[in-house]
Amino acid sequence: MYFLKRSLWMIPTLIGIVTITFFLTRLRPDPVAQKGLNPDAMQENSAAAQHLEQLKEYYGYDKPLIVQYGKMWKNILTLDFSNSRIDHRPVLEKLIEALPYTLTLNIITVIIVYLISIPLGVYSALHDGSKTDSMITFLLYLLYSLPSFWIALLLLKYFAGGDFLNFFPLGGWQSDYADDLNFFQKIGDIAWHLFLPIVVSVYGSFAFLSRFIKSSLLEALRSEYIRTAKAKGLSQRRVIYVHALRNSLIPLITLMAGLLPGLFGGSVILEQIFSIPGMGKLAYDSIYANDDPVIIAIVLFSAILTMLGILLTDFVYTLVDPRISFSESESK
Amino acid sequence: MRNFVRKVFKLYSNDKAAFSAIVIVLLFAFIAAAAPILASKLPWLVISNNSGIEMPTSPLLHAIIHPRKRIILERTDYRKLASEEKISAIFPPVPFSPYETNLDNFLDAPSFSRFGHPLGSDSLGRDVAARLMHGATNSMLVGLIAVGLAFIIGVLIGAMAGYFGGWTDLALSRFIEIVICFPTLILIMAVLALIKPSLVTIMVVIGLTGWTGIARVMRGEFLKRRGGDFVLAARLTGASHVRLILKHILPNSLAPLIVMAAFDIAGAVLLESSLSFLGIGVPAPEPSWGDILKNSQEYPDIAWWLVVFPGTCIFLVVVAFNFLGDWLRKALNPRERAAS
Repeated sequence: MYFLKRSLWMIPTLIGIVTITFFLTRLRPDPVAQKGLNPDAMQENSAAAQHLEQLKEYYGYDKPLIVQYGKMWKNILTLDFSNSRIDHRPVLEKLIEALPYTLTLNIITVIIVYLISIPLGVYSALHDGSKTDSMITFLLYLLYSLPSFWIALLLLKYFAGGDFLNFFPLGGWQSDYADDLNFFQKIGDIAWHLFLPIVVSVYGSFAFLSRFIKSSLLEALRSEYIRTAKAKGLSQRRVIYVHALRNSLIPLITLMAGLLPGLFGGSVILEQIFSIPGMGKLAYDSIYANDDPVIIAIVLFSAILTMLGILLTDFVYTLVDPRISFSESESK
Repeated sequence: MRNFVRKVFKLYSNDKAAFSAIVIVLLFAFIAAAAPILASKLPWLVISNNSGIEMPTSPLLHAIIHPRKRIILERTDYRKLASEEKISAIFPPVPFSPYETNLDNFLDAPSFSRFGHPLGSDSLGRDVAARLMHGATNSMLVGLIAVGLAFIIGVLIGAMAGYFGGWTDLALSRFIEIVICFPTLILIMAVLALIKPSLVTIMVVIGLTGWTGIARVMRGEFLKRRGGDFVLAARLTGASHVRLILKHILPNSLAPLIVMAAFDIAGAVLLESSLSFLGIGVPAPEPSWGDILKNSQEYPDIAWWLVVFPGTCIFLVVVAFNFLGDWLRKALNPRERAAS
């Protein structure tokens, strides 16, 4: 029942996303008006008038607003996002081509972030207030504040391309000769290419996540059931790692929801610097080429995927923690 | 109250990180505000003039008072006159203007000789120090105004949702959820692709996309406080909704707002430099830290100063605001204050 109700709530969200995106498409001024063409004067010349009509249709200014809005809905429901203005390939095809790169990069990033932040957070919680704890917090804050594109430039300058140390390639997803490699060599090749981008994309997230785990674990350690577990005579280790930690990790699921927009949107800057052909790079290139259909499709696509992702995390959360009811998640 | 201030101050002076953060923020605020005076090709004061060219005693002051005469004043090459000893003048610490191009000085390395580029020059021969200082003005302006705008929207929506509850809350919460679904950077890039980017549009776009966090916190605060005794008491005296929201509940919810402001300014400064780095930030000749980094990408092997200095500036400002926010959170939260 909860799942059905929660799923139905997606409908207004979806309508909202589409409506906002629609008004986004209207931001570009009418190209006909902008070019200073005089429609009245052009009426006399039939070829020019015809061209004007075509131009208006191409940019979607030939019909009233509400008709265009309806057309957008029709396009979304039939999954037809028209063609790119650059290479005239279907927009959907370009998106589906780019998505796996972004997803791979970001899923690896998220896994590494969690693998490193959880032990750090647990350590900080168990040694709360110690010198090492404040040292960790300080260092993680410094890392959090380092602009990732700056670090990316510095890493590229000193660890790639041969100026100082030539450990890593300058960018890209795999080597030109990747087709000749066997499966494991291929994986190794991709890992070699992705090392720097992943380093740059993980270090900023440690601070937030480990701090979250720390406070969550501290709270769990103060609760009644921990006192009960201790009173039963369980070892300190068992109390912490089995009883407290397991419960304090549940809120991490909601944090996933917060990471999702970035996951689908792709880190535009990193993909651009390391020339990884994912969603972010596609967005960047389309913006430079004024490729409106692709820009709009990326905005819409990433928003809808994020919405579905948030829905999924909500479901997982209720499965893990049955106390959450619909009304509670509403007043969150 | 005085006791409280003293306690907060004591905590503050014990915290070295917070102290350095304040110093850095104030330093950059000063540079941002004083950039037109600190970095300009016009001298502060002309002491003696044997060149035969007519000039005001203080060309810089003259240009500030009469902006229209700036172009005429800037035609005179005061630095050349001074190095040929035809005039003697006091120059600003950085005797270059941010827009001054000179292709003879293509990627000059940092030099401390008189009228050398202290932090180097870029590929158009523009002085990096001057551009960094004027870039600070842009970054700080974007940070402050974008965050200010985000706060106005966020507080308004969050307060209404939390205060009125019911259907208002349902509708507004749905709206917040919709906006959260859009990845910020992609949304901002799309908007800037479709309209002409300028300093104002960037501030507005960052503000319009950055309010959701504030709205959620405000909603929670208002939900928590609207049933409080002091609200009930104020309502019994006949206070209107607007008065209750602005005079009674909002001041009690200021602490989390102030903390968020510090973090959000850091985020906005970072976002502005990222956008300029991508080439869709403040338009071309305008100086910006991200723009210098973008310029550096074309000459990664020869010009280290184009990478190191702007990056350090962004890092310092971001880290200072983050530490400030962290310290404010501790200082404004009585429970954490007691613990430390």
